[in-house]
Amino acid sequence: MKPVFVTKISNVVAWLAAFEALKSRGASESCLMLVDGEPGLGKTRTAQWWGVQVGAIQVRAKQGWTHSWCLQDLYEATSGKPATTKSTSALFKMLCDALTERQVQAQRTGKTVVISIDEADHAVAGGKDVVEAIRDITDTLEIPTVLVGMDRVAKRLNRYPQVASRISQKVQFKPLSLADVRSVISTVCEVEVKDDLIAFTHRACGGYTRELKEAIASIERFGLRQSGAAVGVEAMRGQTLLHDRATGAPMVVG
Amino acid sequence: MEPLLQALSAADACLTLDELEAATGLAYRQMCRLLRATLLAGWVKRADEGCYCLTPEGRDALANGTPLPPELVPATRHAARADTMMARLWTAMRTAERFCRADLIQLAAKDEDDARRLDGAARIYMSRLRSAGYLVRLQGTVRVNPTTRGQTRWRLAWDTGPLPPRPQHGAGQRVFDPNRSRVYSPDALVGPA
Repeated sequence: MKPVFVTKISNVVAWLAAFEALKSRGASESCLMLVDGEPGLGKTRTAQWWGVQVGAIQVRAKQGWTHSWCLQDLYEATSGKPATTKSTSALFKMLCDALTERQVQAQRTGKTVVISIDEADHAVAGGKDVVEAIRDITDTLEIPTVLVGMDRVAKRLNRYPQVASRISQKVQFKPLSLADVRSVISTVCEVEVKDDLIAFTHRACGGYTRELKEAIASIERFGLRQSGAAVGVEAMRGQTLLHDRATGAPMVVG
Repeated sequence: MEPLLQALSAADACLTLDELEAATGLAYRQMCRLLRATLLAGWVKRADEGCYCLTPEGRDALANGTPLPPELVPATRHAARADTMMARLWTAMRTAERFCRADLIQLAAKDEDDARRLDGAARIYMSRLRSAGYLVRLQGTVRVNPTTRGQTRWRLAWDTGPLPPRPQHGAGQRVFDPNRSRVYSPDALVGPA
């Protein structure tokens, strides 16, 4: 499997388009973007890839996140240094200073400072304090912030209308379409795959990237044994393609 | 900035660059960058050739803890080197925390050609970081390609900051960490903890 991140799939295209739209938003304080979707659709991987490409400040919310812990994590991710105080007010000031420094640097290089918070469910579950802390930071410095969570995060955020109203872009990760699966396979698979097997793989993996990667690995293993010839359903009949997410049962080509 | 102003404030006479370096404990280049910024801000003046002292504005700034205007804050190497292969690989390591080489390339590469170039760079860079104690080997391997044995997974044990540690060429396996301004060598008993 080639180590390439596939950008030509609908979820990634939607993410990039939403971020472009966020940069040209109407209300300056609406600088939150929410990404949600079921596990296994590639949200975290996309967040990581995008974060590295744009140089985002990336943090992962944790179970039990508190106001102070959230500020500490953000400060560490911004400055690369551990926070030297536990006082929330001092932490907030230190974080604002560190973010301002990043904004000045970004201005010099023509980039944008962005914060990306993965597993945002934990941040929202952390209660009003954590959510308000994120709002304070985005309001004070107008830094675009991307919240990545599972499909319940949007519903949970609606409990805080003052924050929910600041979400100007929402992206919902959906299972990959047939065209997406074709794009992924043609980009990363080391062997040529026929259309019938692509369609079968799409049905078998249900549009989940985790399962799709497993299927591609199986196809490659089989294809390279056949000296690299194009692989179709007929050739792979009877071979295990992947394992079912719910039952763990092998899904056989046929 | 504060150590520089304090050193100048404590001195009776003007200080030369060498004296400032010793008094502040900063690296020479870093001290020069700060001195230039404070000169532009009007907080420091040149009393004589190569000799500097504090202005009344500088004393006020030190007393009030006034920060430098943002446009005068010295640019760090982070800004200048943001797009090098090493910087992208280091950012990818900090982002992923646990990874194999293929993961890093997938995260850091801009396109397929870039991915091919990064592969060699990642191999060398990871080997140097491992020697210096930044990377810890995890159990097992992950098969990213059916024709190879699989790639080792690693954990970034010492995330020292946003600037990429730089292997020093022709100096054994030593690595300079600009986040800590220190050199780490493989024979050291402890890593950059």
